[in-house]
Amino acid sequence: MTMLERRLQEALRAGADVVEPAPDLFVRVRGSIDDDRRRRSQRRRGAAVAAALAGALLAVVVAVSDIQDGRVLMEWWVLEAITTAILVGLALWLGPFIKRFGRSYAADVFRANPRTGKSYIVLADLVYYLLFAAYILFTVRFQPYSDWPATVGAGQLQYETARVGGILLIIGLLHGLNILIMPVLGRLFYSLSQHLDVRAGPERSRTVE
Amino acid sequence: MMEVVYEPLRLVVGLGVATVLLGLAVWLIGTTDWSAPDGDPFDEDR
Repeated sequence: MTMLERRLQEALRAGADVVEPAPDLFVRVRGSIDDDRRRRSQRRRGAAVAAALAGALLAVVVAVSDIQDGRVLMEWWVLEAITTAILVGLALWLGPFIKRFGRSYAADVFRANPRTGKSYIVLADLVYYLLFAAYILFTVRFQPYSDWPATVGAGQLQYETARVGGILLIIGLLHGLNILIMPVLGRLFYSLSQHLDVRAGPERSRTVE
Repeated sequence: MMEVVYEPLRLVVGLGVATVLLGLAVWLIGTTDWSAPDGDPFDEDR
């Protein structure tokens, strides 16, 4: 070992001797392991939920379909009901999913006034569910179009696919718009609260006196 | 025009399986902790 290496080793050891582990080190490591375990469990259970729902859908399709001359037949209202159920399921899943990942973003944008941020999220949730409910009610069919046969055909499949695509497009566009607008609103609320604080400052102090 | 003919056994078994799977999905959703690992970002000390 050269002189330089020995001196380097001594310096590093001396530095390491004065370092003490943080008192909450063990707790943080355990917390990190627990978080990792929870994340893995969430992924496993999420996959199981998706598989169960896909299986349920398949079971319904098999139960209500009839095969005649090599053709799979299903009454038009069954597909309408399945699509409506899918839309409702999509609303119930997509809302919390977006909120879960958007909460950190909103917390950063509204870091100066978190109460406004929380209210904003609740109100955005309300808008989201109202939009979904309105879309489902507007597009649901209680009788088939005149060019639809009594059983599911290409025309109805096209319509039902467009129903699902339409809501995804609307939610996607509104969500994108929300991502762009939210920082502007955050800044606006921050400036407004600063302005109001400055104006209310002297009056507040007069009241105290 | 072809009409759909339902087989009672297939209908009962299919809808029964679907109900069980749907119940399983609901139970899994209800008993899983879906919260983010880092907790609520609004409650973080900044």
